[in-house]
Amino acid sequence: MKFLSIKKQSLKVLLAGVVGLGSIPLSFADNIDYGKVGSPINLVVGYQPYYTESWSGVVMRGKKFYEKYLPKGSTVEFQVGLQGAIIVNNMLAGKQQIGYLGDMPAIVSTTKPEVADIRLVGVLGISNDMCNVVLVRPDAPDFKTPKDALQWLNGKIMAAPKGSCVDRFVLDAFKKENIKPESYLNQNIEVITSNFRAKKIDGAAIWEPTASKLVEEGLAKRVASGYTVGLSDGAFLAMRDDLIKARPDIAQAWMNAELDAQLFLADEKNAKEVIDIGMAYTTGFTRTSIAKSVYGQSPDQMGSKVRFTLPFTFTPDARKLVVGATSFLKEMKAINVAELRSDAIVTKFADEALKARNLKAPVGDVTVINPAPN
Amino acid sequence: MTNSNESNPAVKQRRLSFEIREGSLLTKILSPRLFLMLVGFIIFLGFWHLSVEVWRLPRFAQMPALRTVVAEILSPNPTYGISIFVGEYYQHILASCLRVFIAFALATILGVPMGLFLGWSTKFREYVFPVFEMLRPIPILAWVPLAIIMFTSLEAPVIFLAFLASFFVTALNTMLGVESIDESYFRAAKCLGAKDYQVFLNVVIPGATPFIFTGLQISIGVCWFSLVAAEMVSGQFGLGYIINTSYTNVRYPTIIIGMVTLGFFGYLTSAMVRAVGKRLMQWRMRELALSGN
Repeated sequence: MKFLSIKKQSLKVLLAGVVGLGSIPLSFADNIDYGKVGSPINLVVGYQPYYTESWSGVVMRGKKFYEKYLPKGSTVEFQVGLQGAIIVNNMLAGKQQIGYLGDMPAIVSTTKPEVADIRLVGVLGISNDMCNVVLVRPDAPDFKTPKDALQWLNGKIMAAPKGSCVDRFVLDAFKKENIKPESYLNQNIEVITSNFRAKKIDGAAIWEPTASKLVEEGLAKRVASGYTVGLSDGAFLAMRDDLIKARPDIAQAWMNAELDAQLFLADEKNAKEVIDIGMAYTTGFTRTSIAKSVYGQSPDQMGSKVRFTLPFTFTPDARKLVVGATSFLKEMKAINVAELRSDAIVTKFADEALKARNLKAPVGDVTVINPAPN
Repeated sequence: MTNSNESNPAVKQRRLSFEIREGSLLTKILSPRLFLMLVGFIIFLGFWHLSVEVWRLPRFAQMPALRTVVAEILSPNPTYGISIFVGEYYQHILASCLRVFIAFALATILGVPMGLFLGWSTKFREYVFPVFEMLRPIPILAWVPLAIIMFTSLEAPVIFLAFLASFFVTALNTMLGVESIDESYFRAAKCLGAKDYQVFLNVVIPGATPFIFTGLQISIGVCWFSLVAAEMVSGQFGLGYIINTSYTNVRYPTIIIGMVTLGFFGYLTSAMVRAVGKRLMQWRMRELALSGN
């Protein structure tokens, strides 16, 4: 009985404590200090050297185009994200302010305003086979058509990194073609590579340049892509809204620099230098696989001479991709909205950069170079 | 005045056994242990709620709110597809429990004898212990590529990775258990003419049992926490898989659901191991009670 009374007493104290603490109206939520307009800034940029379609970020790092536009004394730290999701998580946590992302992570990033407000400010690339590449094990049959190859995956073990641009492609392509693999495994690039080596998976969908690397190493063969099922992929530039609001000058400066990077990438004369830069910021890739990933051609491209388009801003194609992908992701319960909020896309900085140079979107294409430069 | 029965060891032992058996539900409910446990949970959940939603502490404000997670896990139509009303949730739990069960059983079957021999035989220890100690600190993640190549099936590497950390804990604790046995027991057994296998069966194994069970409790916990790394390889099903996939899909409430479920089952399985240990170690409790410790 004595214990019961102690219990009651403790419970009262506990309840009083909880109510008391809960009524203290504190709000310590931290705001990032970006400084005043015109002052130097320290930016942290998440970029993906292991995703060719977003390579304007690699070019930006290699050529330092931002130095021309950011206030004097500014610093930029580039952090590698092996997958867009890692960059999104860092941006949401306020550790990175600008991110180079594939389509699915980019769309997902705008759907977490309760954590942090992230906006899409530019389009890095649109294609059909930069993210959407289907590989099968090397001893798979020689297929007559890419569609036959996709059908072969019925009842087979398939892998892809979930949450990435290729995840959306696989789900959508399999739905369109009514393909039901025995298992669809969520594996990152490294695990997929090991599993191809161990011959444990029949197929995988993966993005460039890893797709070209696996093919070059003889671990897999490329059999289909977004061209096969008419699905495009994209890469987008995202920014934290608090940066945009506090420092519109920085947002504009970055977009001006990004335009330089895309124009550089589009110019065929720079192909060798692009490969040099790509080699400098990646590890474990041969020059051939890097070159093939940007400028190479495969039969499933159905003769297309464009590897990827550089829209820079939200062209109708880019918007169509975002709208379709968003609704599909909602259907798959990957996000909680069927369409992006109206302010998720901010085009004013990209449009301003284009207007200042009298350019129109898309700003260029990265085209097939045959043979790929080395 | 002292009751003569109370000083009688046989009576004392019978009373102790009775007390151990008769722990009724009511006694447990009224015990301070349950109350304190509830208070602990209330403080933890209260701090979570206050720091995220009320005080909005730096770094905490971006965390998923308690209310959001509770709403998601209790929703018949969860936003991100995982709740107690969704069959897939139980598929993940079942997959993880099965993997942990197999990994833990293997770690026990192989780790206990290994630890016993390491502690008992100096020669065996000199051969094996340096390799054992060199392999022990290697993180589970470092084993991932090798595990994939070493095993032919998709499931075996997952179980191997969960087993590995657990095995080292079990073996090491068992070895320490053998080392903790008073040397005089070995001498006494030898003086009484016991052969090596008799010493092993009657001195080493019972003497090391308390440490073995402590090791097994840690081992089952280790098994659960290596599961997230192990299920990175699985590619489908499992609580570690939920956490990993939700991270790449930026589904924070589902990450918490995975973590809480994993924690709950980790707690439950640890409690089960503890209960089995208590049951098998009643002789030890009696021994301690009789010796007045």
